[in-house]
Amino acid sequence: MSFLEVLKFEFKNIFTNIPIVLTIVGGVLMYSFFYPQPYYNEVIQTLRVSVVDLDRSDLSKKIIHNIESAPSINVVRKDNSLLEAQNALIENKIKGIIVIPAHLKRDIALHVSTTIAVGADANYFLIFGDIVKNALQGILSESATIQVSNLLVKNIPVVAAKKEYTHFSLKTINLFNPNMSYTHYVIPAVFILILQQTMLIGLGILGGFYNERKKLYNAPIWMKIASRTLIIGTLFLTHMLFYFGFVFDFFSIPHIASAYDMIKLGVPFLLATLFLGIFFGGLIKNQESATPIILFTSLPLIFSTGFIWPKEAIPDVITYFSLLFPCTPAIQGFLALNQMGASFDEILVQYGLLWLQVVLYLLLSIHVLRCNEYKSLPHQ
Amino acid sequence: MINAFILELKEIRNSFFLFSLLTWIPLLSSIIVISIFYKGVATKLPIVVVDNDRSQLSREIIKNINSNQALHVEGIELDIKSASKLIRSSKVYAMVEIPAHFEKDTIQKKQPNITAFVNTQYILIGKMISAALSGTIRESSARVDFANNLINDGQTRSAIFLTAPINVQITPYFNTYKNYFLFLVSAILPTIWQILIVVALIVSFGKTFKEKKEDIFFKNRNIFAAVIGKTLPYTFAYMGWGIMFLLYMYGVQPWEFQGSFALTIFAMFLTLLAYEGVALSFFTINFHQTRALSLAAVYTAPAFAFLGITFPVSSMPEFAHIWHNLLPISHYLKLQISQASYGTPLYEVIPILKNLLYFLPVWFIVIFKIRRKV
Repeated sequence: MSFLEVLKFEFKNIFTNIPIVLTIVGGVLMYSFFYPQPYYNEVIQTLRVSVVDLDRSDLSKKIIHNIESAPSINVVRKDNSLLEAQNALIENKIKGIIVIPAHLKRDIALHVSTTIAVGADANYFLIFGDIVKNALQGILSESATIQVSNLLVKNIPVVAAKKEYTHFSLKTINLFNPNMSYTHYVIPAVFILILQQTMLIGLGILGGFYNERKKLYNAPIWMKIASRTLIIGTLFLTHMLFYFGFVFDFFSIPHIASAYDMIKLGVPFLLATLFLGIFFGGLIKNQESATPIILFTSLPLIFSTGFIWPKEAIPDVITYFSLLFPCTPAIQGFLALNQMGASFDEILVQYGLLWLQVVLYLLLSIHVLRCNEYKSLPHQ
Repeated sequence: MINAFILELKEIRNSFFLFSLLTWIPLLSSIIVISIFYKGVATKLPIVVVDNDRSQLSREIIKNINSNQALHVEGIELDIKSASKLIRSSKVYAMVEIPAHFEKDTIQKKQPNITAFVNTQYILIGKMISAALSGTIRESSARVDFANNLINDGQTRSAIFLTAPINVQITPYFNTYKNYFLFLVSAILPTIWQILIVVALIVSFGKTFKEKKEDIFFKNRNIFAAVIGKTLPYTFAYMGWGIMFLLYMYGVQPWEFQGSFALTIFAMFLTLLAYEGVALSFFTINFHQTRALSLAAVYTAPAFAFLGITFPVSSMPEFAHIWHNLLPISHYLKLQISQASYGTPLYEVIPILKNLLYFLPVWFIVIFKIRRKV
C-alpha cells in the first residue's frame, strides 16, 4: 500500500466508526458547551444566613446591617436562640449562623471585650468560606470603629486616632483570576483533560477495531503512525484552537499567551497524546474496552495535577505517576502561559517533559504495533 | 432468575474485563483518590517574602507567618521580579512584600501596608493562603497593639479590649476540622461508583448480545426475572463497595455519622437501581455496546461538577440545575450528607427518596425493548 492509500484507509476507518466520531467530534464540541455550565454565573450568589441577636441594641443592628450589605449574604431569618438557628441549619433552611451575644453594647461601654460567633455549614467549603469572610469583614470593621471612638474618648484627634487603631495591615492582591471566577479556575484545566481523554478514547477504539479483525492490514508501521498523526493531529489542533480561541472568548476567559506560544506547547502535547493513544490502541483487544478504561482515569488525573488540591499535599508517588500522562505537564504549562502570563522559558520543564513523552510513546507505539504484526503472522 | 444469575457469574469468571470492573478497578481507583486527599488539611503551602525593610519587626513577622501551620516561607527574595517568577511557575503560591521603612513607619504610626500577592488562579489554594495570611498579620499587628496598650494602661483586661473590642469565634458545622478529605472524598468516591455501575452493566449486556448469547439468557424465559438475575451479581458487588465506602468513611475514619445508616444504604440501593436502569436504557437504544459507552461517558464523566459540592447548586444556571437533577448521584449525595451531618429524620428526606424513585420506570422501557429484541 502506498502512503496515500494508507491515509485513505485510516481516514475511512476513523470517520465511518460512529463511536469514534461521537467521541472525537461530537464529544469534543459538546463538552465545550457542557462543562462550563455549572459555573456559568462564575461566583456564588446569595447565601442564606440566620442572625441570633441576643443584644437587640443599635450597635448589634449596625453590625447586622454591615454583614447584610455584603453582596452574597442574605439574612433570611432572625432566631431567638442558637438552638433554633441550628435546627434551621440542620433542616437546610440556612447555611450560616451569626450569634450576637447579650449585653454586647453594655460590654463595649464597660470596656469588656466580647465575642460574636459565626458558624456555617462546612459540608460545602465554598459556602463556608464566603459566609465567614463576609461576616468577619462586617464585624471587624465595626470593631475598628469602636477602637477609633475609644481613642477619641481619650482626646486623641481624629486623624491620629484612625491611625492608632491598627499598626499595620495586610493588603491582599489577587493575582490572575482576580474575581475568583470558577469558570476561569476550572475550565482552562478541564479543557486540556477533555482533549486528552477524547483523543485517547478515539485512538483506543480505532486500535481495538484493528485488533478485533483476524487479518492484519498490510502497511509499514511508520505509515500507520504517520497517517493517524496527520488525521487525528490536524483535527485536534483545530479543536485546541477552537477551545482556546472561540470557547475562551465565549466564556470570557482571559488568554494572555500568544498564539505562537500556545501552538509551540500544544504540538508536543498533541503528539504525546497521539502516540500514547496509538500505544493504548495497540494494547487493547476490542473496541469496547477503550472508553471505560480512559473514563476511570479522568477523576484521579484531574485531582492529581495540583490545581485543585495543592501538589505539596499529594503523595509523591501519585504526582510522579501522573507525570506519565501528557495532560499533567500540559495543564501546568498552559495555565502558566495563558492564565498567569509566564514566559515560555518559565515552562521549559513542562515543555521538555512533553517532548520526552513524545519520544517514549512513539517508541512504545512502534513496539506494540510490531508485536501485533508478529502475532498475526500466517503461521499462527 | 437464579438461572440467569448463575449464568452471569460464569460470564464474569471468563471475562477478565468484567471481573476487573467488579474487583480491582473500584479498589484501585478508591485507593488513589483516598491517598490524594489523605492529608485532609493542606499544610506548609510554599510562599516567598520580599523583605525590603530587614528590621527586627519584619523578621518577627516572617517568623509569625512561618509559624502558621498552613504556610511555609520558602525563601526571602530580593525583588518582586524574581518572586513573581516563582509564582508564575507555581513553585510558590504567594509573595508577601514588606515595604521599606516598615518598622520606622509602624513606630511613627504611619500605618504601613504589607502587601500579599496571592495566586488566585488556584482558587481553593488561594483562599487557604489569603485566610492564613490575613489572620497572621492581624495577630501580629494586635500583638504590637496589645504591648502598647498594656504600657499605656497597665491593665491586661482593658488592654485586650482596646486591642480587640469584638472578637469573632468561627464554628465550622458538620466538618469540625474543616477537613478536605471528608469534604471531597465523600463526594468523589460515589462519583466513581456511578461510572463503574453504568460501565459494568453496558459491558455485561453488550458482551451477551455481541457473542449472540441472548437466547441462552432470555429465550423462553420471563424476561423481567432474567434481566434482574443477570444484573444481580453487579447489584451485590456494587452495594458491597458502597457499604464498604460508608464503613471506611464513618467507621475507620473518625467522622461522625449523625443519622440512619440503614436509610443511607436504602437510598444507595435505589441509586444503584436507577443507574442500572439508565445504563440499560443507553444500551437498548440500538444494542450497540461502544455507542452506549460513549453516551455513558457523556452522562457519568462530568457528574462531579454538577453535584453542587464544590460549587453550590443554588448558584448554577437553569440548564445545570436540570442536569444536576437528572443524575441520581446528586440526590444520593444530598441524602448522604443529610444523614451523615444533619441526622435528618426519615419524613424530611422522603422528597429525596422520591426523586430517586422517578428513575425506576426506565426499567420498564428496558424490559420492553429487550423483549422485543429477543
